[in-house]
Amino acid sequence: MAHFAQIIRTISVLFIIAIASPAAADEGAETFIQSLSSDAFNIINGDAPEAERRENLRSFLSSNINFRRVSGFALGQYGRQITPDQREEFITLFTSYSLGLYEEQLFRYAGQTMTVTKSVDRSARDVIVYTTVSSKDPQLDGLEVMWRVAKGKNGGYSVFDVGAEGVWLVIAKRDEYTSIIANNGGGERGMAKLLEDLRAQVAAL
Amino acid sequence: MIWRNAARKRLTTMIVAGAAAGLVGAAHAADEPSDPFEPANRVFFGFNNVVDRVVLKPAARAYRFITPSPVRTGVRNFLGNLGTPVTLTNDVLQGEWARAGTTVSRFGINTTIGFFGFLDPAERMGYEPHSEDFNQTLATYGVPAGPYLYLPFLGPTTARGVVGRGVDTVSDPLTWLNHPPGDTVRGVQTGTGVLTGREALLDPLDQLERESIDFYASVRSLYYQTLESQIANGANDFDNLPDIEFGDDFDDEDF
Repeated sequence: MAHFAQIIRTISVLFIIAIASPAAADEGAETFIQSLSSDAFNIINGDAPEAERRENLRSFLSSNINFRRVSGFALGQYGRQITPDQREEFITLFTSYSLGLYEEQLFRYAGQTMTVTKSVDRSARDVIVYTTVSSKDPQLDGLEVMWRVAKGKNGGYSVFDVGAEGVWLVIAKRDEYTSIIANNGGGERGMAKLLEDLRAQVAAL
Repeated sequence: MIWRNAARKRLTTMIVAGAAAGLVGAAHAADEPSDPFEPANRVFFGFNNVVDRVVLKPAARAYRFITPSPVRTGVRNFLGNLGTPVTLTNDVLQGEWARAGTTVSRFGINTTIGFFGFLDPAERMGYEPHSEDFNQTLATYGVPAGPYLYLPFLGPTTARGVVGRGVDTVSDPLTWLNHPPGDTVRGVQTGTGVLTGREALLDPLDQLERESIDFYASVRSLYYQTLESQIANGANDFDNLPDIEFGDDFDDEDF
């Protein structure tokens, strides 16, 4: 009788685990983010002169973020309604802008560490990795930062988006850019206005 | 006896509504930003930014300057504790019994050994703070957000948010205290609420404005993204995220 009760208990525990885990975790994506964050902070906290560290961080990020892919996402449905020249210019500008933003943020948070806690698959090529920040700053300590990781055709990983407190950076940019395009005539005309604004923004960096 | 019946009826309604929330809640679809009144909203956005620059931001900066950080935390805790009735009502209406229990425990602990709510010993005991409102409750019932509204003085909301705020005000016992010390508490609550709220947003909003070409559109995006996260109680429903398009004209699939 006791044996039977134990079997029931084991089955119900397995059942609960099956329900509780929304999707399979992706260990590769977790390892990717864990080493990405330690490598990035190693560069930032290194001994090299600051200008050199900044340059190193930029090239490190460029090889771990597929900016072409992110650029397409940031334009939403308008990505298909613009000229190839506009597309290439946008990729160049958005890459400069994003690198500047990541660089500024990461240097500001130098000295903190990030630990991967878990991951959730949205699809086989779209994984969300959870990290927790440890920092001396009580505002940041314990903050949950999520990384959206894209898996390339050949199995390579790249950072796609970063989010905290329910807000995703690239989704916010996508909402902003599509709004600018829509309010300025849509399509190629709206895109021309967005590119003009972006040129000014990147020049001011 | 009449009162008893009314109370029982109300309790039954709440329980039924809560149970419904449990069923409907899972069906909540993402509130897609919809902004048919954008021209008017942008006018009020401009207006509020002027009010902000002239009055609110200087006041928030002054508040930050004259108060040490622990005092500001204490004030935030106190205001959070005053928000207990609204949060508790909506915990129950959403059928979130565990969270309702947390809300009650937090109120009991923090009002007594937390010096009327200025300290938060409950958090260290494992009762994490959260807040709920009727806007989120309606969302879990499946009520759509309706159009985005940017209101003078009040800022970003939606049609559903306006209804939610009204219901929260009416259902909050503090609203109905019209004699001392209740009215004073309410005045202090409103005044310091605005000040602490703005102080906490000083750096994030400055940064957002610096980073934005279209500040209005950025604020709207963050409003909707935050709202979604609050409705899901921070559970991060990734199903609603827009999909990545692999292999389109942009994507060379290098990695």
